[in-house]
Amino acid sequence: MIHYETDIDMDLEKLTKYVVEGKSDDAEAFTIEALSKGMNPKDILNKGLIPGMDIVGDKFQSREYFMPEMLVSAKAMKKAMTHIKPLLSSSDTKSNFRVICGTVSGDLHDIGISLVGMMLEGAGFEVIYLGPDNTADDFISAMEEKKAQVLCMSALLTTTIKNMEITIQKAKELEVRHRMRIYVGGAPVTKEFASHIGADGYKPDAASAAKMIKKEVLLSAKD
Amino acid sequence: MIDEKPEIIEVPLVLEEDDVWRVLGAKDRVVTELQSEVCEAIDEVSKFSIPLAIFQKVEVDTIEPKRVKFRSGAEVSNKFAAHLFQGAEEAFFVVATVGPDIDYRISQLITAGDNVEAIVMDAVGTAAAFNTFTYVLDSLLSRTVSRDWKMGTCLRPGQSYWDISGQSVIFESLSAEKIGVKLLSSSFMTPQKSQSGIVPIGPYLKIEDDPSNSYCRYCKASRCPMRVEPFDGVVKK
Repeated sequence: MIHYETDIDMDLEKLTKYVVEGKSDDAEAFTIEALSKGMNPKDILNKGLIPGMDIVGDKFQSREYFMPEMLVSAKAMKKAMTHIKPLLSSSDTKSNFRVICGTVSGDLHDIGISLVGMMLEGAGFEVIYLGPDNTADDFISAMEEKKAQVLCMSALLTTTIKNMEITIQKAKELEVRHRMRIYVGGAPVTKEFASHIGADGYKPDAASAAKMIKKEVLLSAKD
Repeated sequence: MIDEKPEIIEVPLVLEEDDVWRVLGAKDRVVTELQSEVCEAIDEVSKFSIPLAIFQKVEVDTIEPKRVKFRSGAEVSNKFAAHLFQGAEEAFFVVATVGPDIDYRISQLITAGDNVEAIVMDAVGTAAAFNTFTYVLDSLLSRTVSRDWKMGTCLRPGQSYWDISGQSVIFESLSAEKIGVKLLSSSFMTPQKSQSGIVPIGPYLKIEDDPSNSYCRYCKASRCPMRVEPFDGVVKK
């Protein structure tokens, strides 16, 4: 078993700042140094990297940041994570929540949902991408197979959003709806529509969606 | 007059960094930490994209308050379209694409977990498709002006003023598969980096506009990064 030092003289707020500012080389160098000094990778993740992405999400919501800033922060986090991921034990991974992301049947545009997935990864979730064009069966099978707690569905067009409702209905029919939290998003989706089809939530952008999902999933885990 | 045969043109792709920053929502500024990804994606797209367009001129039959009918039998049932067609005698039906390879590349990047690169590649593809379509509109404008005719705003299905199901009007009239573009039952075009529209023309067209400038004034998508003009709120659907 690896022993990690608990008293390392490195300021994780610095790492948070590197993520917020999108300084990927600095974030990577800091992470390598922290690991070489014996810092627990889980601390680097939870106290350095994730708080950085939380701040990025807030800045995006307040329109201080736009897509490019979000992308460079995600890039910084990813660079640091390449060194941390192999060191996280399976129990660390299991403590994360698992999310299935994909676009609904007939819908080919998966850039929006990959942005949501990227922000959810930044929030500490394990994200599994199904890609575009998933039927209700595809989604539900993946949820069951991967033992995921959260399903995020996206649709770009008015012609395909009906497939979100079909998926939720299918989950009800199969009596698995209670086992999952379902979130929906995409250009034609509204809060009213999400509520009408029985989804657990909707937000108009990736950052606020990730924030809402994190909050609600953590709350429901406490229940 | 009989509708002319469709014409296919190869479009020279001109893609600048600024075009991509605008799609990414960073108009008039460069985010240096992302610049290498943007430049690499532009190089890649410039190598493997095949920008093509097909268009056909069709005669307008009648313009009713909520509908435009063409001699070909096609019709657009849309109050806003009818408004923009006032005085139009003909229209160009247009589809343009940059080819399928960008879709494959984006899909590869997402599968590999390279989301940042995928999103940048998607933005480059969008900018390429936009520039390709704009090139075609400019070319059609030149032809129209040379006849001493006027050209109106390009109507595009999927904008706030015209539901995406309007794509079928264009694809039923134009053999876009000749340039490799298909319309799916969901109204998605494949390749995804394709654009379509209908442009009214005529010597006495009442709504004048420069189509290379903007159709944004009629679109209510206020946060759209491609917006170049504010919604003027004058024309209601």
